[in-house]
Amino acid sequence: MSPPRGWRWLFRNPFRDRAEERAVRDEIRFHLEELEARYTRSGLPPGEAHRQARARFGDPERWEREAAGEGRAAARAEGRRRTLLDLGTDLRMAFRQMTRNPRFTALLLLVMTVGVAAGTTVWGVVDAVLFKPLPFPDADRVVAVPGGNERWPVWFASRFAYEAWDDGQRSFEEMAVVYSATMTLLEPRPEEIGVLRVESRFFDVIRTQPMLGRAFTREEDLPGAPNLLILTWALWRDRFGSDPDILGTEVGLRGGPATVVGVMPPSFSWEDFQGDGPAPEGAERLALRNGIFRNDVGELASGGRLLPLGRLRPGVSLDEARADLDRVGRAVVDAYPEVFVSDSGPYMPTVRPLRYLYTRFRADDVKLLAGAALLVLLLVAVNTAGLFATRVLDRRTELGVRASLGAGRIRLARQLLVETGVPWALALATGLLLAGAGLPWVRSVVPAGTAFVDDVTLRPRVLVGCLSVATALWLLSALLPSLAASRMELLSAGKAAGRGLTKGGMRAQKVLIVGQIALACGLLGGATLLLRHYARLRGVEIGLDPERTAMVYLDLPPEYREPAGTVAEAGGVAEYARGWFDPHDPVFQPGPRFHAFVAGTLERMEAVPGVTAATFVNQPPLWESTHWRGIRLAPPGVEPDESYPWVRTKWVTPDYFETLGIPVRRGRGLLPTDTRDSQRVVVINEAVARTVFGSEDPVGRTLSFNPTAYFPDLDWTVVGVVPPVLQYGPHEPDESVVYIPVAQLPRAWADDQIGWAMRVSFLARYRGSPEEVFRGLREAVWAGEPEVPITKATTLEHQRAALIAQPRFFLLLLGGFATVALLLSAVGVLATLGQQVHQRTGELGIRKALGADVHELLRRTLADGAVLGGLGVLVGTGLEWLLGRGLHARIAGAPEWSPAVLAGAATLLFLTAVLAALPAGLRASRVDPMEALRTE
Amino acid sequence: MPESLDLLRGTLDLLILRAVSRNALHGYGIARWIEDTTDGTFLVEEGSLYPALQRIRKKGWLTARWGVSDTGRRARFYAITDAGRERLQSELRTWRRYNRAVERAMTAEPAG
Repeated sequence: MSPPRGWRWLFRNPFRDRAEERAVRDEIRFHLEELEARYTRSGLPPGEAHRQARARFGDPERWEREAAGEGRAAARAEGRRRTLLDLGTDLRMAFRQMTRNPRFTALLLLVMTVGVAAGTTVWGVVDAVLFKPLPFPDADRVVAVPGGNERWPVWFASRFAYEAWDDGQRSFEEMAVVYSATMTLLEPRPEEIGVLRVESRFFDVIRTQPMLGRAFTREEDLPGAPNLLILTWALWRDRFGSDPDILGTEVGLRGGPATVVGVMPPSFSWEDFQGDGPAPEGAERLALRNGIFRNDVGELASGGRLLPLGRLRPGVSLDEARADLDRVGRAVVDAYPEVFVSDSGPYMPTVRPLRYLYTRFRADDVKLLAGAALLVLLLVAVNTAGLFATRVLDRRTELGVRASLGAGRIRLARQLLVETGVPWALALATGLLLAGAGLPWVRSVVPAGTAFVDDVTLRPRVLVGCLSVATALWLLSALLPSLAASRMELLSAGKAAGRGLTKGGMRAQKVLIVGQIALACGLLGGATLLLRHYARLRGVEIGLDPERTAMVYLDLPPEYREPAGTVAEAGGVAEYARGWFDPHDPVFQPGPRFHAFVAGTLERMEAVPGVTAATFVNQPPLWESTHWRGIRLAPPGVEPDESYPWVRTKWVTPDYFETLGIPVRRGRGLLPTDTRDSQRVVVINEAVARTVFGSEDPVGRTLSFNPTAYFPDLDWTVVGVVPPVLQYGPHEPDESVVYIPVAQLPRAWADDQIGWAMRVSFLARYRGSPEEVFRGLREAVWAGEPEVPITKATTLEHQRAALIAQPRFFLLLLGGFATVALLLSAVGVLATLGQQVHQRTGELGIRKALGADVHELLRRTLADGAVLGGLGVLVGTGLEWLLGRGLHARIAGAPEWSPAVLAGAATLLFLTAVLAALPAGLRASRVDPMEALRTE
Repeated sequence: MPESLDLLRGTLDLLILRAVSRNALHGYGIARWIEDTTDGTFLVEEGSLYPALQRIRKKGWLTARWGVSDTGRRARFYAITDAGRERLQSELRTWRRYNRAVERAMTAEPAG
């Protein structure tokens, strides 16, 4: 077998060629001299003998030239043959090594396979989330420009702010604003689909035009334009059978029909996290792969939930765009401080990569995971190297003999490469199979709402990445034993048979083990912290009973409210609403139609078969949303300052607590007798009780809300106290919540009644099949208001699962890593101490012969394990603390550290180390003196 | 010096393989063996041995290794490989058949 033509130079070896030429010259000279000597012996005079020898041999230079040419080729061929032969020998040796010690081999393969599988899987996720191109041209030049500031990041902007920013900016060639929601498609059958309400400029920003028909025009952006639709390709295919004559047809939508003017190409999808909060099963991702585009964003004149987008001008960097938008944002803030400055600072435009919208994973999170995975891989490499090194040390006699028989350093190193390479290749194959089989599981644990999850596959790039990592690990794991072996060469074969190993080598091995234990300890501690966090989120402290509770969330149309002046007339907006409104925006209050709708819908819902109770709240619990600050709260007569809490206000019907299983800890809940005409009452949560009233009993005391003009300066009497209820993902036990009876909502109550739609939700306990219950609940809403779009219909169980999906994901990964690490460190201690005992067999035998106590030997080995474990745990605890801080920063509500966890992880690791030392200790105590001396 | 014959193509290879088929020999030793066994019939110039040796070595029928000669000097010894031995056997069979055929033809009555 010769190398392919283009690669021959790789095998050309100038040193070998030169040596061959020298060899030919030398042997020819030898020949001539021997011939000459022969002639001399036969009696010829020296000159004649020389001449005769020349004649017999022929022209030495000619033959030398010809022989050298052939010789170089021969030497090359010989080298290649020898390499192949050696490779064959090495492979045979490698397999023999593997079968000779099956337990060791199984351990090794397990470690490696797990490493490869974990690495490949994580790399697959990272690849999909971080590197997959977004589905439209030059997507990396498109950014989102929501408002907010560091203390208060939001993903939206008001139209007022957006238009001001667009007027002033110089970084974007085009900006457009989008609004995403869901809508009921009535044909061919009623169904909730996603809708992205866009401006015509949107299609320029994304540089994608409909595949059929056309995009919207500028005139169609204006309020009053006809209702138009552009279908996504998937919707066109699935619901309209890819009808080529679809253009111009009218499609029935709840709220009025619209005319189809285009169909987007199949490659295009738009991902968005659609308002605030997790979606019901599938709906969110359905949103815009399988939905429609509407031209009515212009009607959303103001308020809330618009997301501005911009396409960067050529040559403008992200940082330049940020600086530019900063300048514009500052000017807007200076012009309207009463609207754009709040406690959390000025409301400024922020420039964010669009990828986040699609993946929902912060790049930092993915990097954290990738980092953890890399750490584990490193651990695998170190461990494998350690295991191989131990084995090489076990075989030092054999290697020493081989070295003294003339096997070169390179030759031995190559043998080790092959010996390590064979298990690595096996591990790679099984690891990849495992990763492939495990991918469906990975897709199921990645938090809902992460795009591209379906794209987590073993694509070629992932395979190449994994292959290169495995190669690097292989080389790394071969390096250490090679070093050990090359050091061994320096020892004579005789000495190698003795106690051999240098102190340095031993120390290096121990350092490796301590490092492994430390890493494992850190990972284990981190995983335990997450586990506790997860367990807490899972049920103990969410504050209500989420089982079999349906939730319907919707936006009521404008007719449900009554005008109550403008923001400016009202004297400004509440802190939390700053930046979202134009001073000329109207302020509203809920009208009689609103109260009638709430009461009627609840009645209809309770009549739905299967529903046992129904209740109303403006904003449902377990709802991840923009941090929603309410109003500052203080006792009457006190001007609220920083020391008084922001409160979230919830308006509820009286049976809210009972229906959701929220216990009333003090006083009473709300009653049907708390009406518009009776005393104004509130129920507060424990956080309010603590911060406003301290240790005093709040029941019977009065409260007032920060009296901005549109918040009426009224007193409210506290009648009860309830425990905290989980509101959004990060658990915030300290969040202050005040529950107000919906019947007592004051004039111009403005929680979310200012500019945007009135968001309300109904919660219903049910028995039986959720499908039928949901159908009934929807009908109950539509019987009162046929036009209203239902934003979301889901269960509290699902909401809870979605809220804890991310910690769960982190937990699963980190927990998996920690398990691997624990296993690895046990293997490491086991192998290293076993090896040491093996090395000291002779010494132990002598000690025993001299009457050493068996238990003493066992104790000593266990003490060795304890020292390694102790040192590892010491370093590991520091690591654990660091990791805990990292997690705490990433997952709000995750505990930073806890002494119990630290102690637990440390104890476990310590015990593991000592236990792993046990087999070696037993071996030491069982050493047979005679046997030991014989091996000496 | 006896009259020499031109070597038939490949015959030198055969002779060399035969020479080293029992013990490894250096080039000079191979030359002496050929001279002794063929009464100096072949090998006009002993130097022609060396390109031939390398050619055979390239084919994998010989390996070269440095050793010490009878005279106590450093010399390159050539030893036959397993592949070389097989080659020698098959060449020998061919050679013998050829030889017998020519011999028969030469001793037969000419046609006529």
